[in-house]
Amino acid sequence: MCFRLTTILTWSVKLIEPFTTDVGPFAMAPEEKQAFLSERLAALVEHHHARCAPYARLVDDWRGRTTSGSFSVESCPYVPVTAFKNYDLRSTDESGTTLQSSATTSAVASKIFADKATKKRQALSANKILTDFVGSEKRPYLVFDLEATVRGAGAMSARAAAILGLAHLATEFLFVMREEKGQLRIDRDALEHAIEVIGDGPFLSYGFTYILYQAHRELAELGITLPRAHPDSRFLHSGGWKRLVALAVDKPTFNRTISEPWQLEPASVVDFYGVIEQAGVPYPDCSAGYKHAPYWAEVVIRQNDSMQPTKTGETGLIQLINCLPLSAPNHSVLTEDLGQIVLDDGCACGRRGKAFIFKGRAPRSETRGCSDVPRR
Amino acid sequence: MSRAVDILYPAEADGTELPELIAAAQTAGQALLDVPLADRLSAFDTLSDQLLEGRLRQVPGIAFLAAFLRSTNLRTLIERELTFPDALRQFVPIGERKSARVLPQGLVAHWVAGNVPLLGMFSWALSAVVGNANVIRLSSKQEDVVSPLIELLAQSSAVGRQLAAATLLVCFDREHSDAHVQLSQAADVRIAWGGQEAIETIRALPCRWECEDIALGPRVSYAVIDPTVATDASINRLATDAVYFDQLACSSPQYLFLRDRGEQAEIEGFVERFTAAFERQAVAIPRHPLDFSESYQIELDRTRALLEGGRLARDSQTEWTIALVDRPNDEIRCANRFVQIIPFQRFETVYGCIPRNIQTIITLLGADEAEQFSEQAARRGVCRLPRPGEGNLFETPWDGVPLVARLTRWTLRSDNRR
Repeated sequence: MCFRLTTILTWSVKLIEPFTTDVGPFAMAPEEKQAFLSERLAALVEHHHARCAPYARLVDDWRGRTTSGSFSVESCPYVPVTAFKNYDLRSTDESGTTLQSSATTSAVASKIFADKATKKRQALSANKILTDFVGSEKRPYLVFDLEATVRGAGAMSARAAAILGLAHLATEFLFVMREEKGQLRIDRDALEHAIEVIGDGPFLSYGFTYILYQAHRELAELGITLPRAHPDSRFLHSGGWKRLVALAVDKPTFNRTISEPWQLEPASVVDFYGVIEQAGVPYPDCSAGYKHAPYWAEVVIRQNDSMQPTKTGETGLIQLINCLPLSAPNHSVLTEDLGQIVLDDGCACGRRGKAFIFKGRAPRSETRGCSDVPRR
Repeated sequence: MSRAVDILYPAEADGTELPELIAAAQTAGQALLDVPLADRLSAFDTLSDQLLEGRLRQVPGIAFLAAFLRSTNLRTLIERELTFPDALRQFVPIGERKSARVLPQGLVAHWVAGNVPLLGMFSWALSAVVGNANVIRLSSKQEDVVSPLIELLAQSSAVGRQLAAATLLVCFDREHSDAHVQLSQAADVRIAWGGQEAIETIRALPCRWECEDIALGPRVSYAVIDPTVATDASINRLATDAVYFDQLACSSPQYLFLRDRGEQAEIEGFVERFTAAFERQAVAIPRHPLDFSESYQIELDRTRALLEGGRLARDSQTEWTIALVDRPNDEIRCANRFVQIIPFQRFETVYGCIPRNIQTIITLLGADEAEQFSEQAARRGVCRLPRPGEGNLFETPWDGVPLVARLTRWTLRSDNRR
């Protein structure tokens, strides 16, 4: 489904409402989703074009190259995520929160501005997605992190955003880590209290991938015996695997390390992919081991060199799209991550639309030749 | 990770230990002392002809190497530094009661930049023509376009065979410290091509105290052009300079400063002509396939240029990009055919942008301005100021280093009074 660019200009922000009440997050048929998303994305592009002058220059350049005069999800212009490290891109003068990435790769953090309306949409989105994966029943929320991570009124870290993304499913937050000489360690008292609160019932848990792993290694080293968890309990984690790859820890080993002490099945450990530039849209693994985009978001995998969308089964750079952000033009971003579309539709888990896998960060290019950047 | 040393040339030497092979190359190098310079030059002339005829002509950059190997070029380069080249054959009088003999240093070890193996062949040829034995170390066998070239030289003539015999081509990992140390300690001259990390690693290897080091390290290059002086031919040559070697050579122009006399049409006209030439050359000269990281970098750099108010000319994929910007953005990588064009009204603007790792500024200005600019650029560290089309022509001095002087040693003799 395509829309004439000229007609987009007349659409109002009201048309950008990303959710519809009559369908589940992953139940929309692909053709219907294309139409739904194209309409909203086109309006969103115009929204940011009108409010963010630097972004308008990107769009004008894109329009100059778009010969068909039509808009589709795959043609939606994107901003490479690294640009959010160097440029303060905002589409509003209203106050809000700046989400900040963990800056592990380049020591410079991405800064994504989110106003109240955007945050509300992001929270609702995360709520709908996670509910689809772990159910809507509220449970005690075991957090393998410091309480301080989610405190503070200023910039919010990616870790904090991820922790708070599950807040709607929590009856109570149970932080079980403490800081010792700059290192995160298990807080035994807090853990004991958490176990007491949880009792026999199911709980939900979250930790950044590396922190969750380190915490469970420490539990094993300390010889702490954990109670058998209710089988409906779930451990969710997100964040880079780089440090675990360096420790030669693969996904099955990771899942076992987390699930075994709680006497849970490895499938109780759910990895979700997400980037701070697309807050509000986590991509958890489904029971078939794939990731899915809800009807208000999409994933496009792009070839190297041509930057054209790949065919199913080909590896490429991940472009993430959603129609949530009103306060910064981060609705369509090109990541440095690699992924692959596995199915165009018909995943065994029952979710509609594309199923994809995340294949890690694109390897940095080898230094080639003897050219350099200017050094002053 | 392989810990072996692969012997790429001579092919029959596989299985022999590195020190023995180095010794064999040194012995063959001794025999070159009896070969006249004219014969060595002639052997390279033959190789140059063959490079353009055979299958190697497909190798990117081979035409530059073939031109470099012409005896007239090599002789010019030698004479540029040695005003009495006969000293390479015998003692020659150089002034009052003094004679000099110029001899090769001995064994020259070349560490070649990853992914651009042909670069090392320029330093090899210059070293070999003045009579040195050479060991060339590649980091990957996949990059080996070099052994067919030496094989060609060996088959071309008797002297070519001698030159090839004094050349050892090896490949080993960067982690193979034993091999690196053996090579470094045997060398009379170490030539390191490549990025900063590679250069620093090589220079940190143990070597003999008298060993000469030539670091051909990472550098950037620009162009400074007056559009009123630029012809279609010179614009085309300038585009070639930027497109060749996928802009990964230290001599590849990244920023193009454009003389702006306030005539917008002049600027626009030049950008249009340059864009057309750039596109033509980008299509004509094949480029290596970009990996994901390189592709992402180009998309990011295009975005950066636009976000800062620049204007782009580009293809629909990631083949080439020209960004017209108010001021250069050092964050933009300017690799793989990405040029920033910056109009300027005062030369001070250009001087202010010259970094400490500058190498080449391709210059096309009116005579008076060229003279002034050259002097100021030289004072700021610029090593070369070639004309369009000459940017990637390897020459000596390179990076400001007189290579022939560093590849040779002198013996000075006092003569009897006549």
